[in-house]
Amino acid sequence: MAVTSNWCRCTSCHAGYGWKDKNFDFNKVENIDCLVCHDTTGTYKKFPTDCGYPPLKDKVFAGKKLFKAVNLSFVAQHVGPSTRESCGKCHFYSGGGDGVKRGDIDSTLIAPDKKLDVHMDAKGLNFTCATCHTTTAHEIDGRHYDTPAPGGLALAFPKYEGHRVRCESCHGLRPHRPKQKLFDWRLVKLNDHTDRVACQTCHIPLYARGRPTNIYWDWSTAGQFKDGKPIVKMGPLGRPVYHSKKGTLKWGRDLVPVYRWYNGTYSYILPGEKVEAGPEPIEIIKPNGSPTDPKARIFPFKPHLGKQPYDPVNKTLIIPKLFGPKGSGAFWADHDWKAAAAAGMAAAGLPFSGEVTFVKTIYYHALSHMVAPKEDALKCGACHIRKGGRLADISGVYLPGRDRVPELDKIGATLCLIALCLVTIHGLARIILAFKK
Amino acid sequence: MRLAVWVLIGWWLGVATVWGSVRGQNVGEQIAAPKYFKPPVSTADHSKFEALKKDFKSPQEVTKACLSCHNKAGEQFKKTLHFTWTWRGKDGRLYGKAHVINNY
Repeated sequence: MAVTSNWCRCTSCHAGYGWKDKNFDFNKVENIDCLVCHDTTGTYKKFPTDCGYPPLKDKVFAGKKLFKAVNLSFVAQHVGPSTRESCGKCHFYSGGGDGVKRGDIDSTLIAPDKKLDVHMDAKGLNFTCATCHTTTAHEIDGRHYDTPAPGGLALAFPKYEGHRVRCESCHGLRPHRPKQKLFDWRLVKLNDHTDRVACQTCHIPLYARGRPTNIYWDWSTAGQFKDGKPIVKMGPLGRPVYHSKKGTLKWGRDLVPVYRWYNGTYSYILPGEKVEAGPEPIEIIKPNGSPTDPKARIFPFKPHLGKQPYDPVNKTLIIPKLFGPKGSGAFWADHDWKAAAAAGMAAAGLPFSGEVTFVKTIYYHALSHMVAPKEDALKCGACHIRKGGRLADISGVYLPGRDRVPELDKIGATLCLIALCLVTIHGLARIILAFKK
Repeated sequence: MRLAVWVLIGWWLGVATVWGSVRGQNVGEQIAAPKYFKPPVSTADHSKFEALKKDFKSPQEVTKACLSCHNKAGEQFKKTLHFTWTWRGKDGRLYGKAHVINNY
């Protein structure tokens, strides 16, 4: 939910060492973790609860998973450029497990085939993450806060410093080109889509094509026990549908995205910000964009529904302390939401009334990875259809096939009818006149 | 006349050999990944550096060893999102993993 008060668990994926509370010194450059990105041996792993430190002795996590001691000298002597595996060590496992959070990146991208990802196809183009997430002086392109990096078209030309993070950077604005002939009229219409429809919309027809991804997380049911023992109930996809620490969970594979207008930036509800709880889920992280925004395109998203703690008096989202020792208020040790909320909000320096309820929230993840081969891209009929199309709830554009103007249809039908009458009269007249001769 | 025939035969053989080898190379390249997407080949073998031939006792010692050669990397990296987890928005508010809240 939030890093504050849960440091040592969350910062196990921080590219640094020892971020264990809010006093971490970001100016101490020796606390930078070079190896987590530059390891090429695959033997460097950070321990999940050690504030970013790798295990220097063999250590067991959660009573079952062994983390072998890291040989620092061996890793240091074999450093190199980042790989899909080194980036993936954190990014594939965000949300606490393989594919949990993102829905479009997971461990199957270490060696994917063409069907899963045309660009990373290990036997084909074999892109690394950094092929698109171009990097200058350790500054890596690609994020969704209020400034998409980089802005504009960002074509892969020297003038634009070689940024390649958008599809258009390499493919251009008229990406569909005929294979053999010089001109193919069908591609002209396809290319006309690029000002309003993102490439991802048609070329990422489904998400969670590698591992199952989490689509619903109800924290309110967490903390139930059976005979004093934690419950872990596994579902059909091999992921827990109930977990005493986490609550009720739902998972999905090969899912159809939802579509929204998106200009490359997001809006956030920050901790401490007042927000009303209504019957509709609170959009805590939502894409910005509208049909009138020239930078916005229709874009695919993974929606993540949740039910999370809320302060009904202050009307704020609660940062709960989840991780910590017994007696610290941590929910995973003491199983009390009020104590967890008090500890978490105190650590964040935010007011807390003492009341905890649960609110429905939604978080949209933009989907840009796992681009399918072109034969799997969406066909026209997926959107240009009267009912049940993929873009059924996209407003602000006239979508041929989906939309109609009844008045115009009536005028057209009337004109057709009149034309038919006139043709009939004219034809009859000619036949009759022919007989008269 | 005979000399001219031999020169001509020699010429054609040469052309055929060069053409064949060029074509052969092209076929080979088509099977392998396009070479411009291969990760850059390093110009340094890090196992040969004295600074790294040590029995490191803590990961911070490794970082110090890295920075003893890559002397701008520390200043570069400490400002990036991967280290700060902080992004100052155009509205002045602080975003980034260290400041936002989600529902996972």
